[in-house]
Parts: sequence; structure tokens; C-alpha cells
Amino acid sequence: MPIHVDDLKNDEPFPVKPDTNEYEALSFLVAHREYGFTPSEIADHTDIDGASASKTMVRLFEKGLVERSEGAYYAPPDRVDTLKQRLESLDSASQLFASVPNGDVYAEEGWEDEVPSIDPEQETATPDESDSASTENQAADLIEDLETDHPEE
Amino acid sequence: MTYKHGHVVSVPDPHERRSSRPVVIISDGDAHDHGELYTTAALTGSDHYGQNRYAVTVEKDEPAIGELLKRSHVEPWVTQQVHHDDIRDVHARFGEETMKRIAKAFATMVLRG
Repeated sequence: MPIHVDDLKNDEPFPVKPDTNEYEALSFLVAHREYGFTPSEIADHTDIDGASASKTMVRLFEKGLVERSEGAYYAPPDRVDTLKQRLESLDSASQLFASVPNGDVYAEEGWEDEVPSIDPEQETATPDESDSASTENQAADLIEDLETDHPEE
Repeated sequence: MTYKHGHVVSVPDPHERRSSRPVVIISDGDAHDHGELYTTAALTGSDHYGQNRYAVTVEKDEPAIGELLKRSHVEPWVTQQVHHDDIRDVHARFGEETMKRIAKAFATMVLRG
């Protein structure tokens, strides 16, 4: 039973991994949201091998990520913006892992278990609870201070 | 539930090969699509990266809520937009003074360019 993309929970990763045929095909359909494409047309426009395109599209269809009509696949119009965000977020996450320095303790397996979770709703005084005018004034003062400290830079 | 400005959250590896990465949320409710997408700055435990002039060092017990694994460094030069559902957990929340230091690092980096 496929999982609708809108129903995915936090602990369930997006069902497509970066750098895969599924990722590339879904990205292509999202970028060309106004059209439907057959698997061979998708292969022609991407780096996906023609022999793999049909299986790739069936997998995406079974996962509920694309729709199909008369042999053509397309991104679901009502969810295409969400899919675009999810794909971009996958790219962002990949970039985070691409820039991990050597010797980073946060690269060690299980570090999350050593730092207790907190209640996200727990409140504290942070700038987003200040009024906008006050925060903007603080930003202006900060810039003025920086320019005073380094007038020649 | 919406993650908030200053939250230190973990982002899982989309390839599912490595441990997650910590980031701090720097956008707030006035940012476009907040609640679905969050602008984040990366955290590292690398002291080498911590020597960068724009790095913001945060002590283990400095967060207003929760704590870090160890003394860590915010990397203003590594910002990413992460979707709500790609965040796994919340580990800490930075207080106002910490966020001001991060803001100053960003401002310095932008102004010097």
C-alpha cells in the first residue's frame, strides 16, 4: 500500500533517495509540471537509461508520488509544490553531509542518543518573541557597531 | 507543531548511511513558508572549523533549553533550507544572547564581502 506524501511522518524518510533514477525522474516531472511524459520520453530528457525508465516510473507510481494517464506520467498538480520542497530539502540535507569536517564528534554514530530531546513547545525568551521594530533596531545597531569597529574594511 | 527560531535540530542523512547532522534554525514566522521550510545554519564539533573567523562558538551548557553534545561551532557559511518532515528531533534551543552572536557573525560576513 503506497504512502501518500502528505501523510509521511517525521520518522519516515522521504521514499526517494538523492542521486537515484527515481529522484531524477521525479525532479524532471516536477520541473515540467504542466506536461505528462512516457517513460521513454523521460529517458530521452534525463540521464536515466531507457531500459530502466519504465521500472523507475512504476516504482514512483506505486509510492504515490506521480500519477499516470494513457501511459504518460505527471506530477500530481495538487502536490507538486510540496514535492518540489521535499526534493529541494533532500538536496539541502545532502549538502550538509557533503561538508562534514574530519574529526567532527557529530559524525559519530549515535550522538543523538547522548543529547536528550527537548519539548519543542517549551518556551524561552528569544528574539522571535520580540516585536519586529525592536529586532530591526537591534540589527541596525549591530551593523553600525560593525562599521565603527572596522571602518576601513 | 512548528519548530522555532533558535532550535537545534537533527537532520537525518537522506542516503541513510550516516548519523544525522545538527543545525540551528535561524528563520522565524515572518519567513516565507515557515512551518514547512526552515532556514538553518550548520553546527560542527570540529575545533578546526571553529577557528574560522565567522564561526560562533557555543558552549555545551549554553543553550537556554537543553544542551549540546560538547562545545560546538555554528557555521554561518553553511546555510540550508530544510523541510519540516526532514527534521528528526529537537535537542536544544539557543537563547537571545547566542542568537545575537550568530546574527553578528552573519552581518560581519555579509558586510565584509
